Amino acid sequence: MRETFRVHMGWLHSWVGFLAGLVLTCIFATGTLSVFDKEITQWMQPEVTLDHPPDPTPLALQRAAETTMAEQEKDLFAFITLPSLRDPVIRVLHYDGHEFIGPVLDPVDGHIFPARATAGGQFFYDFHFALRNGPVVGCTIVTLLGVCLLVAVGSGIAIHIKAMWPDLILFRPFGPRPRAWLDAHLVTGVLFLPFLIMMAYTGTVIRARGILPPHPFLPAQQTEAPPPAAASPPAKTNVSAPPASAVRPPTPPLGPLIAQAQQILQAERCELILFSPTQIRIFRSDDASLFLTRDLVTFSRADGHVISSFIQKGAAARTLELLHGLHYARFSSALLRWLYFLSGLACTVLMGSGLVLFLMKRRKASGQKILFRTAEGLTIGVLVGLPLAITGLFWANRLLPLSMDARMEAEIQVFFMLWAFSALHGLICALRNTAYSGWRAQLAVLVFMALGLPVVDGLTHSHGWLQDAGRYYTLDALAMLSGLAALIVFRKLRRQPS
Amino acid sequence: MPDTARKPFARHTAAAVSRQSEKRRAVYRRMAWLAAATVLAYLMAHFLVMHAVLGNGPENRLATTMAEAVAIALLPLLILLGYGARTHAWGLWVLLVLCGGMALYNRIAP
Repeated sequence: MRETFRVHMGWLHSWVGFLAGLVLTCIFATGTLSVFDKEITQWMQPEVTLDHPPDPTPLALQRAAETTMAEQEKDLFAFITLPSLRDPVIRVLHYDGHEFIGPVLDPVDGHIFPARATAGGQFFYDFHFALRNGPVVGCTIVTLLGVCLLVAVGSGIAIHIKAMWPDLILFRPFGPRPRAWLDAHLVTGVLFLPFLIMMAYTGTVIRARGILPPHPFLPAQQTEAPPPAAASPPAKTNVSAPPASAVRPPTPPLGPLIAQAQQILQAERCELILFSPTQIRIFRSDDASLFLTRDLVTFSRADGHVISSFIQKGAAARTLELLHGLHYARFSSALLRWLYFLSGLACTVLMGSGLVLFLMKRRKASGQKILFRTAEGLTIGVLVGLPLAITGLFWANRLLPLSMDARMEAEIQVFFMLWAFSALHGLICALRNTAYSGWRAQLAVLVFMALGLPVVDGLTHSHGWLQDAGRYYTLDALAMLSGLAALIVFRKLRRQPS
Repeated sequence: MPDTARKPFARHTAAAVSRQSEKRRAVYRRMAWLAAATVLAYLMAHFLVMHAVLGNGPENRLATTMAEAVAIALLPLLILLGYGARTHAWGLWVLLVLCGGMALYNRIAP
């Protein structure tokens, strides 16, 4: 066997790409949905009306402060997010281990909307960055996979560097199947390469500490390490949940404090308000600029005077803020968010087509091996099962009773159960050597569920269709498009058995 | 069956088995090279982060985070260098020298 550079890189690209790609496809798909996490939450909480200007009244702020105190009485570390152009309501949120959830308040009179309990778009965000395995284990796995993605991208570039230009313009969707899939893989790979590298790198950097801990492994370095106190803790970690027994003083009016914070931070908008027993911290809004900062002003909780302000300066800090800002994309306009969404979708297609190509290339030589069949079953679970589970989550959001106990958990269970069924069905079909019918059966269910989502949304009468309904039309239209795409693949599979 | 009829078939099977075993050995070698390259690249990235930690400057936390950003960018590149340059067998040597150099530098001038 000739051991050339391209052969080495091809082997690395195939195996790292496939093994990591099974999970990375899910991470990219949910990350793509997370671009519109707030809008998805709004779709999933149709009881919340969004026709108010994003400036809260003093009365609403007072109610929000009272709600926060009530949440803190329950030993929850609750905080306030102020209205923004994307989400013009006040939210009193707390972290439940996976998502930020909590009551939603009207920014005019401060009444709490009777919104259904749902994880909303936060579910996809949590899955994207921690695979629902918590901020330690889950984040570390995702970060390691990010490095794998960078390796796969690097080896892919090494393979195709000579044919970059033809790959960019050559797409033969009606050619023979391996050729069409390869063209789809190459076109999306080359066209969205800058986006892919940017997202993979910035995403990995955000949680880099998980895989590169800043403490020595070797004893020689241990002796020279600085004491831990030398590192100043980040601003966020200063705030901890006060004990339930602590007596909390009344909160001064928040309106003047927000105005003062905006002036000190020279920001048009502030977003987060955190409370500790003695202090109130107001943070600059994430959507203020490309640089995602955690600049804040600290006020005394007793009388509202300014205690301190924290504004990050310096090239290094700004660089890191830029890396965070580029990944989170909270600064962006609606148009740019759509570009992020489409690019994320293209990268998901890139990974999905890579998985299919991996199987196609090995079907002839290894089609009868049990490992190949397992790989095919898992691929069915990823490529069809994940969209199926996502659509199932939206169905559950509309169909589960509003007054149901543990409703949010039930929605999430529907998602995972559907996904588990899909993976199991895919595996059984692949192991029985009927993978082709497994693909088709699951695609048929996906077509039904995706095309049926707008119908379910309409029949449940959970919202009006005339005023403030853009988010319903958009998500339902996207579901229909996914259903149509699945229908095209389904019909193509019917014509061309493998 | 006479020997003359059996020999070509046996030779053909033996060649196939030998090819398969050679292919398997090649895959094992690749995996070993990849594992070695990954370990060395990871150590190099770790030493880079440690360099920032041991520096203990006034902006230590920021310097560490910056070092992490650089290390994360370097990590896949070093893995590719260590593994990809195995044709000429110098990929791992380069990583070894880089790693040793960085460890020595951390030891002498943190």
